[in-house]
Amino acid sequence: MWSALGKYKAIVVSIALFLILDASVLSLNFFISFKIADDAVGVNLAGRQRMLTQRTVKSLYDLRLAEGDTVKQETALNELKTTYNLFNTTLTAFDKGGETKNANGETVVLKRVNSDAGRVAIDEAKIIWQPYSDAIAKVIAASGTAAMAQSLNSAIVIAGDKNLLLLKLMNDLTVNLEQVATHQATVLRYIQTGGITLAIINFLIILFHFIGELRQNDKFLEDARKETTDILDTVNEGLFLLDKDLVIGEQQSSQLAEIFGGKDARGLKFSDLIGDLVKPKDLETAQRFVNLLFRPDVKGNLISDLNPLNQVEINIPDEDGGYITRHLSFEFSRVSKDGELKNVLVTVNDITEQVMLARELEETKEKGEQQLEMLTSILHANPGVLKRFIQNAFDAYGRINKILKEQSKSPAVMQRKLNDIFIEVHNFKGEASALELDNFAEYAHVFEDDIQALKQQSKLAGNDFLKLAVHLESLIRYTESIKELADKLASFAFNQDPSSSVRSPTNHENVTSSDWKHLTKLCENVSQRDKKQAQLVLTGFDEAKINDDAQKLVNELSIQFIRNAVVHSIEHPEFRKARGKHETGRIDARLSRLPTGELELSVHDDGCGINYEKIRSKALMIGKWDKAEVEKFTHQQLLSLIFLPGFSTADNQNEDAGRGVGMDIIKKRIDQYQGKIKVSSSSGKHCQFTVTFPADAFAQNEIDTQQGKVA
Amino acid sequence: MTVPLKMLIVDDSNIIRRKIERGSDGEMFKVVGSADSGVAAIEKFKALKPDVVTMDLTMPKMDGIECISNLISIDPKARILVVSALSDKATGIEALEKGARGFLCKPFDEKKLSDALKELVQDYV
Repeated sequence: MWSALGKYKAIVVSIALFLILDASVLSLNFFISFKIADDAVGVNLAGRQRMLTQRTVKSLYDLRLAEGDTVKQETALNELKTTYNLFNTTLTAFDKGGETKNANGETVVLKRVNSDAGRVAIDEAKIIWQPYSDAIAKVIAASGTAAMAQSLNSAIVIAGDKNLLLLKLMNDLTVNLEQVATHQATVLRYIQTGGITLAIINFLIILFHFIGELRQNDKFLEDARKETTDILDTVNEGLFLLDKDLVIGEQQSSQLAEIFGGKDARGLKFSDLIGDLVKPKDLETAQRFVNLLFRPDVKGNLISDLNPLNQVEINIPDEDGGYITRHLSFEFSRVSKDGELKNVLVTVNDITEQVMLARELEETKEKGEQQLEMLTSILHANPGVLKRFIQNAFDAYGRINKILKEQSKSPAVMQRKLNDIFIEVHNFKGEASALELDNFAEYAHVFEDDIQALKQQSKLAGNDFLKLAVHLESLIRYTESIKELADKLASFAFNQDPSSSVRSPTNHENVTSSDWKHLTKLCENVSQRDKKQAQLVLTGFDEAKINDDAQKLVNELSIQFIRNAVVHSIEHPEFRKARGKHETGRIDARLSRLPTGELELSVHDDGCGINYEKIRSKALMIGKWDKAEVEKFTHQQLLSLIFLPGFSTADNQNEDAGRGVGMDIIKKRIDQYQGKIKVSSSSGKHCQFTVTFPADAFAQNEIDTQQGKVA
Repeated sequence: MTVPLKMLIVDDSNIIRRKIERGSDGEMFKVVGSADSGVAAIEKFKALKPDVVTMDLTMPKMDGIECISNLISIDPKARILVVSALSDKATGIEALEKGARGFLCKPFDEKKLSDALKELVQDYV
């Protein structure tokens, strides 16, 4: 029990002491007060004894004066009896202790007087009183006038002799009793003063003790508070408590304000803190989730998967009037006291960096996958051809960019711009297809689709070209990635085996035989897509010593001619069979240097040749010429139509035909190098395109090439 | 050795039911029945008076949310662990508001299930 009091021992002892002290003082007070009350009675009765001595003398004289008057005598005698008895009883009570009557006739008890002076006065009074009393008793007892007179005279004589002395003695007694009473009162005062002093001292001890304790407690609390504040100022998480009404507590970590853009959350509702930052549905779900945590039957550890704010993106206003995007993670933990769920501790972490890192990793992974895909897509291509393709691609992008940058609001110019871009993209696509760089071809096809869509738009605005710029941008990025990859591959191959044939050739190196294999592949692919069978035979390509420019052009033209041959001339196998031809069509591509120095490219196929009637009907459909005029067109005139921009005889638009730009490009390129084109066709038998370039068409570059070789 | 607690498995997937049965601690729990719909679950619950119920949310005839409401109206002290895929957190929260006491997200491994079941009956008397 005592040990259970613990730190309260001191206060219990202090209070017990205080109570004992008070009880003691009170008891003494009572005791002395009763004594003083007794003393007061004594003093009063002692004083009355003085008066009784005088009344006795007066009664004796009254009795003498009443001689002869029976009534008066009777009165005086009664007075004498009363006075005598009262004095005698009271004196006896003072002497021995006992009862007497007070002024009201009530019986009072007097204690024996023990003080020295009091005893002296009483003992002397008794000696004097004894004869005096006897004399008075005789007066009272006397019968007959003579006896009365005699006894009265003797009593008066004694009275005259002793009265004053008796009065003095009774006075002494009174004074003595008063002194005793005063002494008692003084003692009482001392006791009271002492008691009160002790009580005050005890009170002060208790007071100082408590002040000390309070100070110590305050210091402890202050230290604890400081520690808590230090912790809250230091932690990297936003911490705060929520009560059952979802009101935020008074204490929170400094980081919380940091996370929420300086907002003071104290006393706010949870909804006020995050209401503006998260979606209303998330806020509502979060509040419902926190309410679950206040339900004792719900297992807190078993609902963390349901936390709707475990990762949330918020936009916090910043000082410049903009927004900062942050990713936050809220964790909710129960806080119990005495088994009762009191609060929910909310821990807010800024996980922006982690989220960004995760995204970066994801992007890197995606990029890796994309690069792997790219790698797969270019592995089959000859490094030299690929390099040339990439170079051509960047050249084409440069030209497209230049076209896009042309400023003009004229519809005609805008249409022309669209046409020019379309030609470049289509050409690029053709080359990509030929090299089986399917990703490039797909990019270009989507690009083409958007250009086509714009071409069909009734009104064009500058902004419409933005979409094309975006396409170009993504093509450039993709090509750069491929270039990077191709360079790495080339250097890797070179490092592994410097003599390897797959190393990247320089700009001025002659093309190896494998550089033209893609044309064969192109023929196969286009045939397959068109459900035809065709075989390409290349002659002279490997032997012809031509520079980069000539190679680029030959490549470009060959691609268009071969594709056109498959799409427009070679018949479907069953059709060929019916005509008595071999199911597989043959395309002969020949490159040769003529004795005159001219460079000649001819592409011959054994297909159905040029269908002039189909060109005629297409010409009618375009509506550019009237019917009579078209009817009169010669074969030569009809042939010239296929070199017009946008003119195609293909029935459907697909990757290989139908856009009507292939021959247009061929014509442009040929003109660019002052070349000539010759077409010969025999319906149902064959078709041949022959292009001849002057000997000096690529001269400048030939010189460059020579110099390059010397260097 | 204490008497194992009676367990009822409610899930429309046979595979999941078997997985839960395998994952529950044999000494602590005894699977007394299983149900593939909310309606069947109520019947089994009345008949078998299980101590613990695992509850899927997406089921034919009667979904888990409605089933939980029914089970709680039969026995307000029913110990129900929702075992469900987390398509929508609000739905999971609603299941707990109706009276379920815990949520285990599918897919789960046996240890997770075992821990969740133990947590669910931790203060069971």
